Amino acid sequence: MSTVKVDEIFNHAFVSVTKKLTSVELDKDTGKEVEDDIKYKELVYTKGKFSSTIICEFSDRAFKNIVSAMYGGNMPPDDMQILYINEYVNIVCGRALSEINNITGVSARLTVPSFHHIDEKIKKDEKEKSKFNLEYKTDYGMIKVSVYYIFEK
Amino acid sequence: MDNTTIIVVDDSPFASKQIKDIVEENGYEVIGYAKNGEEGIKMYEELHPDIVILDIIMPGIDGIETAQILLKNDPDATILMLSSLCDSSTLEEVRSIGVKYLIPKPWEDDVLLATLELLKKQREQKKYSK
Repeated sequence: MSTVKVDEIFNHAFVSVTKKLTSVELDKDTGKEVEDDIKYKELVYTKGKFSSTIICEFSDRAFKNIVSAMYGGNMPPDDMQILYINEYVNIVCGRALSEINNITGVSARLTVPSFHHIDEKIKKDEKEKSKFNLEYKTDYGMIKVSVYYIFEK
Repeated sequence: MDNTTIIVVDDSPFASKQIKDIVEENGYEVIGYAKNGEEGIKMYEELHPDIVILDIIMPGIDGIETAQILLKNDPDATILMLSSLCDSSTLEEVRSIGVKYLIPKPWEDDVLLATLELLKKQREQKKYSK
């Protein structure tokens, strides 16, 4: 399982799904000095042979750009905005997990993404010892991703 | 000729709207939306749609369990599943409960429409052969 490049799989999922859903080009190595404040936090877990805690954080601009692009150019009503970002995270993480499942031959499932207050401390499973971060600084705002994971035997 | 009727069971308004836009442009009629499996089961009993488009990852009972209940209640139910999780083990699980088609999210419109067309034809053939 150590040969599975989990970080590359997630990076590819973020880049390709974001392009498809919003037409925004994400690149984690832009070297851009974008200093947006992170304002929104989404959480999703995977359960099964690939166990993980995935935290996705968005600046206000990134959040609004993604949600409005998915809604067709405008912002949806306040009570629907979270449902749009939930679906974005669901599709990205589902894409990554599908690839991990196919490569490794294991079976893991995704939970429903949930929205959290930015200051809320996220509990993760202590056994998820491996970790990587992805950071996208773009003209459309900033996205930070933290993934804690383990391949169960 | 009457339109083929569809209900969409998906917790995402994004997916529901995208599906409505594309299928209604192509002669299908979306007659209901449910945002979870429980609502979907109730809606199926009330509306008797020709086709159910069903998401897998949802709060409450998931799409797999929802499909099992729908097929138990009506073995002729025609179901198309959609999911961001679309690997071979998920496909195997979907097929094991009697659903033939699983389309990955985000979907390609032509794949969605071609699959709906196939389901529609299979449904008509089944109806005439009875």
